Amino acid sequence: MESNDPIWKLLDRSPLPEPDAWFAARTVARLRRERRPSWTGRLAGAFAWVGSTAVVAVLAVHFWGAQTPPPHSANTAKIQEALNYIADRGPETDLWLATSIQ
Amino acid sequence: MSPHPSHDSLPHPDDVALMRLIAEGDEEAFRLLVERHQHLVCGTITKMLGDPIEAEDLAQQVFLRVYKAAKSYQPSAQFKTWLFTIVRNLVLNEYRRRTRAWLQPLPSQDDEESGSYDAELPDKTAKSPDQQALEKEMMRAIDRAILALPEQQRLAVILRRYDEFSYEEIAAVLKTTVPSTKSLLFRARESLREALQRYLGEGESI
Repeated sequence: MESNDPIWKLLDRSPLPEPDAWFAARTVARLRRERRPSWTGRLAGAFAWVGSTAVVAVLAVHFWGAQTPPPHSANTAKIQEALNYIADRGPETDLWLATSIQ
Repeated sequence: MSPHPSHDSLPHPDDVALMRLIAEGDEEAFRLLVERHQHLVCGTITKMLGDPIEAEDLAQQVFLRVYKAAKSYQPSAQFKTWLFTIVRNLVLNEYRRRTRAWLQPLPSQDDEESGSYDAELPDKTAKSPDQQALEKEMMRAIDRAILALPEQQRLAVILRRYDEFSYEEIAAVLKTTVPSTKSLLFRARESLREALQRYLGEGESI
């Protein structure tokens, strides 16, 4: 059996080295360090935030701008006034319109 | 009140329970896991690389990988086997990095004082300076002989002799079969016997 092999017993003369008492603490500290983003990471994050906010703002302006009706022109008011006038006059206006077109 | 009462309810949580807590971001569970396995992980990597400083860095990387993998960890395999598969992968990566960087793969401990090794020697009995010198020389010879083994044989010997893994566990870590593991260990023992021939008789007397 290998356990009775003298060479196996000889290996015991050089045992596994022990880590020092602070190894676990250093490992946990390294974990915290690696989880925390570096200053370059934070800077990149800030730039990304500003960039994405700007893109959202541009898109919002573009989208809502397309939905807004064009501003009233001077003719719009006159056309509206004419339409109101026609509506108030009733059926005789139709006759007037028909003769006007002819 | 503790933010993670699981520690109080489980005085000695097993590795799988700790991994569940780590998956939730519990640093205390991570610290417990590191403390539980640091001896074998650090010791194995130091024996594999022959450099305690690089070994510590690599051992920390092993535990950081464990933390990152905690969320996806499936307790299908034994935790120890899974942990040492990470050890094996990182050690083999380190060998490849050294090969690419044209670094010396096996640093000779004769060239340095290897103070960190010597500082950790257990001083069981008072020995004469001559005996201490002989013992240190023997330890270095043993470490050199282990470092001279091919990677797979070296890891198999360390896992078997120092970490007390079964053949099945070693085979799982090395991703090989049990007969192949036994063959690796047989060849490793023969190489060690040849390299350490002169100490085989002296070992008992020192």
